Amino acid sequence: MSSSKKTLSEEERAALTKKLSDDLEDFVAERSIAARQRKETEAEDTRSIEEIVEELQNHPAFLKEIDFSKPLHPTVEGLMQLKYESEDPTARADSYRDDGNDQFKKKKYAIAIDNYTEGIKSKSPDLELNAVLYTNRAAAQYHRKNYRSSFMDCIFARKFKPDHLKAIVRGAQCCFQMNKFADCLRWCDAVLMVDPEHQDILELRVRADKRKREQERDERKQALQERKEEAEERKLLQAIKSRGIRVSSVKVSKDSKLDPLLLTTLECHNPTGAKVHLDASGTLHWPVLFLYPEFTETDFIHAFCETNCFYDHLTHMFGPEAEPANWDTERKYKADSIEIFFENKDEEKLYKVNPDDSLLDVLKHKKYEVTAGTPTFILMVKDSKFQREFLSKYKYH
Amino acid sequence: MAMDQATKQHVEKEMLPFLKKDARPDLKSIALRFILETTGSKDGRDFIGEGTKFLSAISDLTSDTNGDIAKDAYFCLINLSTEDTIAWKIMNLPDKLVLNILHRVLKPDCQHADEATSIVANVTRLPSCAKMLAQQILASDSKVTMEGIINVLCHVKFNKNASLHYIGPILANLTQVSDIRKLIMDRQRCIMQKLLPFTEFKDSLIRRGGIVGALKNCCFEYDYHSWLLSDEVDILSRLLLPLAGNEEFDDDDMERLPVDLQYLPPEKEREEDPDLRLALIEAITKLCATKQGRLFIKEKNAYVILRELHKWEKDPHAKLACQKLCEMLISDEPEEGMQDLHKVEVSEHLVEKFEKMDTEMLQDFEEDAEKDKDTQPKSKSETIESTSPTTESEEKA
Repeated sequence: MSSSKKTLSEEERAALTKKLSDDLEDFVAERSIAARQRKETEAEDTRSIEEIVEELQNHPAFLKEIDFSKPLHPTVEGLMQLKYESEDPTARADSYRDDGNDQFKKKKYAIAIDNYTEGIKSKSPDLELNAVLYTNRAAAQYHRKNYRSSFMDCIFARKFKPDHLKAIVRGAQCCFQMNKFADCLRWCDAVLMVDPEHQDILELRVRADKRKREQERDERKQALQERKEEAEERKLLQAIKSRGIRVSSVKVSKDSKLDPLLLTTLECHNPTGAKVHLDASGTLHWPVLFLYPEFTETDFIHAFCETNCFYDHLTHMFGPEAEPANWDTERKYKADSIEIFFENKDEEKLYKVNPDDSLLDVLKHKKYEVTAGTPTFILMVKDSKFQREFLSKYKYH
Repeated sequence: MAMDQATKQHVEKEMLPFLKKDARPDLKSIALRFILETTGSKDGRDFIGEGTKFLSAISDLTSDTNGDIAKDAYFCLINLSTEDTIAWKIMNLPDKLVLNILHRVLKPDCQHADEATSIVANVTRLPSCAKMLAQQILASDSKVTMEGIINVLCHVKFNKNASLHYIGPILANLTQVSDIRKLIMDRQRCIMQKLLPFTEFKDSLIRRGGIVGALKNCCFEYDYHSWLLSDEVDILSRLLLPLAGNEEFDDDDMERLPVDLQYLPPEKEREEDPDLRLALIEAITKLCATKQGRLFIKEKNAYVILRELHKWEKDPHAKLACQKLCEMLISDEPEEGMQDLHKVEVSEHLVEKFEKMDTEMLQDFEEDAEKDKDTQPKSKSETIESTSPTTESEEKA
C-alpha cells in the first residue's frame, strides 16, 4: 500500500490514498486480531471465500462507489461502463478479469481479488473462463499470503478445468506454504502429469519431500521423547506404589492398574517446578514443605532424599552453625527444641514425627497421605505456649 | 498325460476350429477349457506350444467380448509362459501381443488386468524377451511409455478390480536393459523419485520386490550414482530404511544418519524377505563402487544400520553380503588409482581366492543357521538361491 504514495503526485489524491491505506491497515489489524481470537476457539476458519470477500467489500476501502466519485482514467472508465452495461455474463466476467489483471499487474491484489470475485459472480457458462478467474484470484490471494483462500480457489478452478496447469501449480505452492508437504507432493505429481518437465515444480517437489521427511522425523523424535517420559513416570509410580506410600485421592496399594489421576496428583504446584523423582539408584527424592504456624512461615526443600532423617535437615537449618531465620527474632527454633507433626486431614488429627526417622519411614506411616505431590510437616517449638494452644485445636494422637 | 502323434493331430483337428472369436460360444468355452486343463502339465504345455497355431488362437481370444473366454485365454497364456521356449514364442507372436497386453493393463477399466499382467511378468523373465519388449516400448511410435508404466505402478488403486502388483516384476525385468534404466533415471523428470517410497510398501511383497529389483538394477549405472545419492533423489535413505530395525542409537550416531532413519519407532520392522534384504544390500554395495559414493555412504553413517542388521541377520547370503559391505565401510580408503572399485582389474587367481573365501564364510553361516534351527525349532530360516546380478525374475504358474 505504501508504494501508492510514491506514484501519486496530486495532493488530494495522495491524501485520499493515505486515508484509504490507513483505513485498510486498521481493518486488516482488526481482522487479524479477530482471526487470532477465532483461532483460540476453533481450529480453522470455516467461512467460505465468498463470505470473507463480502466482508472485505463492506469496508470503504473496497467500495466501488469511491471509484466513481473520483475522476478515472478514460480506459478504466470505459471498461467499467462496459462491465456494468453488459448483459452477457461471459462478457461481464471477461471484463472483470481484465480489470483484475490490470490491478494485479499494479500489485493491487486486494482490488484484483474484488474484480475476480465479481467476475465469478457473473456465473459465466464458460468453464475455461471460470477456471482462469479462480486461478487468478488464487494468485492474488497467494501474494497477500492468504494461502488457505488461495488453495480453496485452486480447488474450485480445477472443478471447472481439472488439468488447468496454473491452478495445480499454485495449489502445490499453497500446500508448501501451509506446511502440508504430503499434499504438496500430490499436487506436484498432478502438475507433472500435465507437464513432466515443469522446472519450478520439480524443484518444489524436492524441497517438499525433504521438509515432509524432516517433519516426520520430528514427529518420531517427539513420540520417542513422550514414550521415554511415560516410562519414567511409570517407574516413578511403581516406586511409590511398591513402598506403600499413599497419595491423596488415589488408593495406590489396592489399585493394581496405574491411575492416570496419580500423575496429576504428583504434580507439585510449587513455582520452582520441583517434583518427586527417582534417581539412578532407585531412591526417591521428594519436595517437602515445612510449615511454621506460629509465624505463618514456610520452608520449601526441593529434594528431600527419602533415606535422610528429619534431624539431618533440622541441624542443617537450625543447628548451631546455621544462620537463624529472619522471622525467628527470639531464636527459639533450635534443632533440638523443634517438634515435628503431620496432619491426617480425614481424621483432623496430628501425628508426631520422630526426628531420627527417615522421610521414607514417615511416608510409610499408615496415617500419612501425600497431597499435592508435596509431603508437608508442621514444625513447632517443643512445650511452647503456642504449641499447647495449637495442639488443643486438633485431636492429637 | 503324454500324447502320441495321433492324439495330437486329433486334438488339433477337433479343437482348433472352435478357438475362434466367432465360434459357437458353448463349444468355444468347452474347447478353451480343455486347452486350459492341458496347459496344467509340462507335456500339455509342450504340445500346445509346439507350433504357433494354438498360441495365435489363444492370444486372439484374450480380447473376446465374453469375459469368461478372455479370462480362460489369459490363464492358458500364464501357464504357457512359464516355459522359456514358449515364452519366447509368445513374445514373437505377430502384432506385438505382449506390448498390446501391457497397453491394455495400463487402462484403469481393463478387465482381468491381474491375469494379463502376470503374462507380461512371466514372459519378460527371460532377458531376451525383456530386451525385445524394451525395444518395442522405446520405439518412437510406441503406445506404451515407461512413464505410463511407472505412473500406474505408483498409483496403488489404479484399477479397482485388480491389484496390478505384477507390474513391479515387469519393471524389474525391463530394467535389465540399460536404455530403460537411463529413461527412468531422467534427471529432467520425476520418475525415479516416485518409485522410492515403495521400498516400504507393506501391502505386497510382489510389487515391493519388483521395485527394489528395479532400483538395484539402476545402481548398475555408475554414471548416475552421484545423482542417485544427491538430495534430488536420495536413494540411500530408501535403500537403508527397510534394513533398519527399531534399535536406538546415541544422539551422535542418530544425527549423522539420513533423516528418514532417525528416531525410528519401536514397532519398526526389517524387510521380512531375505532375498529383498540381499537385493537392498547389493544395491548399496553397488553405490559404494565409486569413491564419491562410498565416502558419502560412510558419512551418512550407514554402517551403524548395517552393523545392527548383521547381528540380526539369519539368512546366510544376506549376512555375507552385509558383512562384506560393513567391512568396506569401516576399512581405510584404497590407494590412489584403485578408488573406483568397478574399474579395478582383479586377476583371476584372486577372484578364485575370494570366491573360495566367500563359499567358506557362507558355509559357516549356514551351519550357524542350522544350529539356530536346532535350538529354536520355531525360527524360520530358509536358504534360497540368489539370482544373478541384473535379473529379477518372478514366476507364476
